[in-house]
Amino acid sequence: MLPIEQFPVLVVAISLLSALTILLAGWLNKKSCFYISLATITFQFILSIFILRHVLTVGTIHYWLGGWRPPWGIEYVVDALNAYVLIIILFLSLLAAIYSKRSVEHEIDEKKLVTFYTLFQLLVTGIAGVVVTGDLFNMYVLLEVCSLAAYALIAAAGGRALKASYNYLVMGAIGVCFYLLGIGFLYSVTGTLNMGDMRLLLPALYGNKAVQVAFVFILIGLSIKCAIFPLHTWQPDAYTYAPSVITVIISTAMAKASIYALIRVIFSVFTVDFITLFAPIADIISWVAAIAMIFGSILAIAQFNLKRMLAYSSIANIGYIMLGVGLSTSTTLGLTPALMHILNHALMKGCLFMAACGFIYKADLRDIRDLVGLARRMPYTCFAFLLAALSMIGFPPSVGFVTKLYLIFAALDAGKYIFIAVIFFSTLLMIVYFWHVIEIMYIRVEEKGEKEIKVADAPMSMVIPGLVLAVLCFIVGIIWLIGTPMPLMDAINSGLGLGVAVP
Amino acid sequence: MSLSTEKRIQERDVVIQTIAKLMIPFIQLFGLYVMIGTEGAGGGFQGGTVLAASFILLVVAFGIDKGRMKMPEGWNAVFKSLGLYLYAGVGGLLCIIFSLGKAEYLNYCAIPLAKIIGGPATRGFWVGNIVEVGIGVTVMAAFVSIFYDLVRKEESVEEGGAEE
Amino acid sequence: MKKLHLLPTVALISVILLGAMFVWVVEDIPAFGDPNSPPNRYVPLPISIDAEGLAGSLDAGVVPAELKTKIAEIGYTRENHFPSLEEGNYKIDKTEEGWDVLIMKEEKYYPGPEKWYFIKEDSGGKLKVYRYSIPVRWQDKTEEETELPNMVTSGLADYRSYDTMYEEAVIFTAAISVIMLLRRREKL
Repeated sequence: MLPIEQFPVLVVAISLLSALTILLAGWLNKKSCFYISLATITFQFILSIFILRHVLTVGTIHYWLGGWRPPWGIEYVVDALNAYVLIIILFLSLLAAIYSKRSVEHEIDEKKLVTFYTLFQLLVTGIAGVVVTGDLFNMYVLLEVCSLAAYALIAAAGGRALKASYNYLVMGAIGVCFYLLGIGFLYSVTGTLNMGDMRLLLPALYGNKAVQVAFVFILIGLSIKCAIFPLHTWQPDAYTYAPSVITVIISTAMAKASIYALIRVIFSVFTVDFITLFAPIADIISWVAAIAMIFGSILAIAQFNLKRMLAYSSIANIGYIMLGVGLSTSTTLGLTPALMHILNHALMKGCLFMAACGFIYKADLRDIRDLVGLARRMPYTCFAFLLAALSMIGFPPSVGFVTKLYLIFAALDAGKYIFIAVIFFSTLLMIVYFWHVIEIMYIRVEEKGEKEIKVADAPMSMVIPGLVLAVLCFIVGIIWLIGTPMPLMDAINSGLGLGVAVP
Repeated sequence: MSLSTEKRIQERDVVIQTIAKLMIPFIQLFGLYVMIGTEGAGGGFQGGTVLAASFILLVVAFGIDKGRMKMPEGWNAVFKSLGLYLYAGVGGLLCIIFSLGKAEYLNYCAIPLAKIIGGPATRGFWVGNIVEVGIGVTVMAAFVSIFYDLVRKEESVEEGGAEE
Repeated sequence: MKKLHLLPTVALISVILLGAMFVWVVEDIPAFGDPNSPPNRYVPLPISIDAEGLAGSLDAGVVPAELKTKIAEIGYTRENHFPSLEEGNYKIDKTEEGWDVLIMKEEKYYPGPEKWYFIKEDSGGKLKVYRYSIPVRWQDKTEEETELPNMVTSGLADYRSYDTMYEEAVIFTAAISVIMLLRRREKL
């Protein structure tokens, strides 16, 4: 057993131990919580880089926890998909942790600080744990850990956040219950909980009604966690009223972990054969995603609150990812557009939410109409917002453009031309609402009756993560266009049995 | 309230207090038995709940202030972390450290005790006495802490830190 | 005229539909007390070949080549990190119902043989292959491998102890959430 094979467990277990340490150390000294949390997340991020390098050069990591061989024990399987999503999640958690220092001091009560950072570290533990595991029930338990921490953290802001968090709690608990029922049905007909084992035992049982119902239950349960179109109603309230850091980390890291769980169950446990056997599934996913793309954008145009507009825009982008998932079985590009958009959306949405919360931090500006002429006062934050908004619209060579390009390739390859029209239409709607905000910030001048905003720019520790993400939006776009990560995408696609990327 | 009602409440209080004084040590002993005994049904979660029930009986019989004297809220935070440290840290990380990275995360055979009494006996000892105790302590502290937060009176905030 | 309340009606209809779906599904789920069902004992693999001369080969302790190729076709090979039936990696025990194939577990501290496949000859002259599932090892070997006489405790705290650790972390999270949201005094 090489020492590097211990790294996936260390990523999750040391995070749990550091959450306990934050509780004890915060009792003695309140200022130390932030530094312990930051150090732990940095350590996790460095470990995840080593894991990715090992997986790409040597092969997948199989790790038997407790020394027991699966199916009698729990197994950790880290292949290319796991390592890719893990490094995205930990990078964004690191930037959110850097962002959190000044923001949490401003928004959360002094006496809630220690428990806030404890729960924050537990949230990162849960999210990282969902991604590395290779056992279905272990994924359920870690989904519970991260969801429970998220419910409490959203409610930390008080006021309207309490009702939003309660709404999220009820819907999230129902969703994860459906997932557990699905696992129960699968266990009762196969007798094993290991993902690799179940993949070999299920093809004999495709006609079994319990297996089909289990698939539907797991799909519905994880759709509630990802906020896919009809089951998204908890999301706008939860993102709007949550504290700033929590919005950043939930909209990027936790949403991506839930989508990873969905992709893993659909393509690794129920293989591609199941989806092509029951052909309407991929079509239903694509159509629901198309409706989500248009619906999210139309509702985002109607919002006055900036964070709420970005939350509805999130729903539209999750629609993009699910469109990529739905088209993946009928195209040679495989899952490449969906996986691309996981990284790209995390970068863009993280930057947008960081900028929006920077406005709230400095001058309590929540409404779009109040942002008049802000570009002169807060130049760096508005510049980050401008770059990220241009990237969402699809300005070449940014990441938004790359993912829309690959989605159009995939739709052309699959022969479903209507999705190209849907992509264009939703891009037009995105231009409407993002340009509205950019115009108010940059171009409009205050009229006589409105009050002038006199603020300086946000502090450095809040501006720098936003600028890093905004610049990365364009640099990563150029990297995608050159084609450097394509071997990784090929490895993932061939591992899931889906086809090879177009060169 | 009339005098006879107050007197009746006083008598009822005395009965409950005496019974509680007799019962609480036995409930705690039973909770420890459920937690550590590996022959019968039990385990960490169940034993921790019974131990927490004894503290709740203390609060019901004697009032929240006496209960906070017996189990202060600061100790609750320490016990919560201690339980999970026993499980994840001592039960897990030591297995990796003592075998120099060769054994897996919760592989209890890798502890040096296994060289003295053998692998299976180490696992039995470790599970029954360290892992389950770790679970039980955390569960007890969590339940007692949640109960204290729900029972707390409003006026204790203005009194300040008189009772610590 | 009495107003038709929308929400309870929709909730009632959806609960009834969910109940109907459970009744429809339940006929394909094995019964709870069935001692030979997949969660309790073994799960059938989709292999069924004629038992012409193969019974003698199994009695002698060698798995015949046709069975090996069929099992490898399903996917239980060494590339997928499952134990494969190479020479010296397995042995066969004959019981009154059929043949137990035991494989070398290759674990770090308990590398010995363990029941993995079960081959039975049924009335139609065909060989059927089953795969033993989790509780068979937990029930038989709990006293010998973990010195805990209770299978539930050893299953929760030894074989699958990682899940129990995170269940405990959930309780910890719940207590910290209540502290954060409901505590009104200044110190922790």
